[in-house]
Amino acid sequence: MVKRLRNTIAVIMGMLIACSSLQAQQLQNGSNNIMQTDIQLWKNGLENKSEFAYNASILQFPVGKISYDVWVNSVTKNILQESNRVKKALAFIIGEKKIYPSASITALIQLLGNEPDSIANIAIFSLVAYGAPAIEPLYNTIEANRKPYVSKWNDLLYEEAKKQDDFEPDFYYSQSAMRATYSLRLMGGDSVLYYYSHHPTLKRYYKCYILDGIAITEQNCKNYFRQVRLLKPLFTDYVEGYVDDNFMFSKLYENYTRERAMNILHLVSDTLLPLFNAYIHSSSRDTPAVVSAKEILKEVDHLYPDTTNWGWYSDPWCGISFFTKMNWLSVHKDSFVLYRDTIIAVLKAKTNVSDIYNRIFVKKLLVLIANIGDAAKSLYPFLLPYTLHTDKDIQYLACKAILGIYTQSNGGFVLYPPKLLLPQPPESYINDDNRLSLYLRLSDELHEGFPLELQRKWDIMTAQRGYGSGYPFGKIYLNAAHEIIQGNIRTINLADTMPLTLITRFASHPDTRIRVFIAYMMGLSDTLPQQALYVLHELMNDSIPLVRKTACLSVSKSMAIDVNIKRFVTVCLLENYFKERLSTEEQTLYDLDMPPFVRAKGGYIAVTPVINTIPSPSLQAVIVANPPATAVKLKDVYGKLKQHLLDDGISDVSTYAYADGFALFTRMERVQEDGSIDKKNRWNCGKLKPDNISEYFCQLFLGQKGSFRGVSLIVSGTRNLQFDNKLINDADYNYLFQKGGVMLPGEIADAPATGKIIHLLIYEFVKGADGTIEFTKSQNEQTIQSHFQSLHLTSFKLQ
Amino acid sequence: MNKEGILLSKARNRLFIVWIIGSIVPTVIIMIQTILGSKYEGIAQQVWGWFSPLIFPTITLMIGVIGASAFNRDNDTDKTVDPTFFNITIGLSVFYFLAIDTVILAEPFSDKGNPLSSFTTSNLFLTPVQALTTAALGFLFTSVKKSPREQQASDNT
Repeated sequence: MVKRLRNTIAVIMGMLIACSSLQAQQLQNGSNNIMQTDIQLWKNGLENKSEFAYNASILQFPVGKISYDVWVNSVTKNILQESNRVKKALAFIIGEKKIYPSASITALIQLLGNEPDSIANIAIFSLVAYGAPAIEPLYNTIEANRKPYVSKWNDLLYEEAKKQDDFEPDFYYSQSAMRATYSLRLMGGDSVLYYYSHHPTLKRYYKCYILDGIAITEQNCKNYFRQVRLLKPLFTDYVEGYVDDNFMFSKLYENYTRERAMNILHLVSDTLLPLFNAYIHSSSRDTPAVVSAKEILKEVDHLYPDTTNWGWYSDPWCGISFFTKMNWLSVHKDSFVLYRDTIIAVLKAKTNVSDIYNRIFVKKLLVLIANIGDAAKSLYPFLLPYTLHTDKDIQYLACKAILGIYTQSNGGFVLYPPKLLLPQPPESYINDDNRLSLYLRLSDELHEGFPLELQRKWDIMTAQRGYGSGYPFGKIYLNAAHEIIQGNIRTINLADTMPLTLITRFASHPDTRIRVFIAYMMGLSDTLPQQALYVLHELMNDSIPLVRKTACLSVSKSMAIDVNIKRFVTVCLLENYFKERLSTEEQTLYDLDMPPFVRAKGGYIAVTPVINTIPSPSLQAVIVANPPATAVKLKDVYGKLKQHLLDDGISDVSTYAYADGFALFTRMERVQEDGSIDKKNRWNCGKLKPDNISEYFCQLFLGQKGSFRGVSLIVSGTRNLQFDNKLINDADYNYLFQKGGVMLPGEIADAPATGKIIHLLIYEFVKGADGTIEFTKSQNEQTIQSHFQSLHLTSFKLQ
Repeated sequence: MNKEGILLSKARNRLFIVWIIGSIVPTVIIMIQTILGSKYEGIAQQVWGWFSPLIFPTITLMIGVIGASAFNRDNDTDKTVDPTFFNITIGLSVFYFLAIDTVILAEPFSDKGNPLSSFTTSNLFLTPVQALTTAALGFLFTSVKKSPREQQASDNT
């Protein structure tokens, strides 16, 4: 028994020893194992494009929900699409080589040098997050021109702390952990903390060093500082020291003369606060404001070297408290006034701080002003002359500065990049009378005096519901388009009453300008055929080659019977390029008259023309509601018919007043011989080009014929319609369609539909071998049934 | 450098073969198009009116000259042609037929709905090419150059 017990204990001990050995070995190789796991995860992420995007989004835009949303919605896609080279390089360095030769790092540095900063940062962060030793030479290379203060800082701090009598290692490490928390927040906000706490590798550090301060050991802390040391300069390159915990701004008055203290306050409140805000809220680490801030800081450092210890510079350990103090400054009345007055004085260049600002280029100053928000409203009169400055860069920045002045949201920070606010250079709206342009101004309040032609305040929540599935912000586009149409204006200001999360997404869409113009097209007819949308989109895209634009313009010519496209072509004609391309004959051909509108109070209103005689159709039938409708008005019938036609893809409908009802005419479309829709070339009434070899030989030997139809729906109390004896041709029908109105006249719309009969008229046309389209009278009764079915008038049936 | 010439009869025969072969493709295509009917419905007469003058007058001339030579072989047995000029004529002829084939074969890609308008437009470049080609052919098929034997007899007298 004893022997058995002894054996059991021996076995257990052996197992324990084995486990201990194994654990020790695992610990010894822990980093390698984790590294291998991470590499595999990372490589998998690269392949399925999810892990990388997730990590990148967490790391790159950790400063707040707004920036994070912007990142997730827009930038991530770009990264996935455009940074394959970087990803491949990283995968190569981390995954394939498993070592970090200097040659690879050098290649990576060169590669990153050609990438946008955001991508470069992501690459670096990715390396850091995975603890790659490769970051050391990369870091050293990037930081070659900077003081290696970071690497020495921890050691110095630790040595200084050890000299103190009351030095207690555990307390020191717990304080370090707290500071580390601050630093993580400052570096990346809560998102980085979240990232650290969930990352398979880093969460160990997070749990050990952040949450469980008691368990901190000296070795662990050093490891942690290694992480921080590598991360910190990437986030906080403006941090060059730390401030005394007891620092207070009030001490300025005790140690300096009032004038000097005021100057310092000016500079702090005028520059550091907005810059700090800009830095915190910026979605990019190199916004113009931040760049300007760095320049200013250098100048300040040059002129006031003794103020370095007074803590302009935020401290990673005390950043939050510093931020609080800065907030205090921002609400302090006297400072606020000084803040404003200083900027004014700077502009007048008559103050005692002008020697600082004189060193700063006016461009940088304007960029700075653009980011200081509401406090600079009174600067507007001073800035306005700059919009007419001979230097176009200054013009641009002045406009941006004005925009910034009137932008109160987001701490007075102007969205970046600036092209979101000014899609065109300022001179476009200052001097250019011929260009149809759109300017988006993002603000939560409207102000008089801004050099925009129109300012509108729209309910962003309404806009969010959208107009159609393809346009989540379609309401804004549509409203903008209607403003253009009704007011005959060239500039629109969009004012947003909501946080910039929504409007930013709207404004940052690369197709915003294009979409507004497309909405401008849609403004008259609800929607355009897909082909027209595509062509218009191509035409408005600046990056499309001119050759392609010419082709698109040719396509739009074929659709030019659409009144909206005519208006669009009108716009195109204003561009010199198209003006040169279009001959006089072509310009005349397009009949660029406006659709029937009359000027009225408050804008233009549509006029629906009257048609007295209906051309004789090819086929005629009477349709009735199914089930029979009761107590409806003509506008209900009108709406239902248009909706059915829209469901069938017929968006262009021309409206006439006819007798006691109305008449609708659709655009001529290509159909099969039996009346069914030719889906492929429905709206192409021109010559079809062969798509494949069989089509080519068919067209070569058999030629190309075509059947076309125009549909008319006549709603009238008359059962027997009176037709014109003259046979209609394609030009007549197109003219009829073209000259119609876009809405039902008010007096007819409210009339009761009782007793009204709906006539379905089909105008059939056939294209001959010589290319002419001729009207034809069909004798086949079955054809009208086919036409009716193809129209999908599901609420009606043939009588 | 003494360059050897090509016998005139031989040159004429080669050119005739080139023209016969070259004219087969467009002629057959238009024939099929006409027979099938729908391609040139109502405009067949105009199409042939455009096509015929492009080829048949020249071939008719060739047949006439070659036919005449066939019954008077002694006169042409030793007449020669400069090979460079002969090659130029061959090249012009080939280019001319390629142009005609292109016009007919590319018509389905034309924007113009009526094929006849495409053909009519092509006259802008076909006519000059035709003029050059027929001019070159004219020298070979109509001009009379004395043979060396006739030249010697003429010199003796």
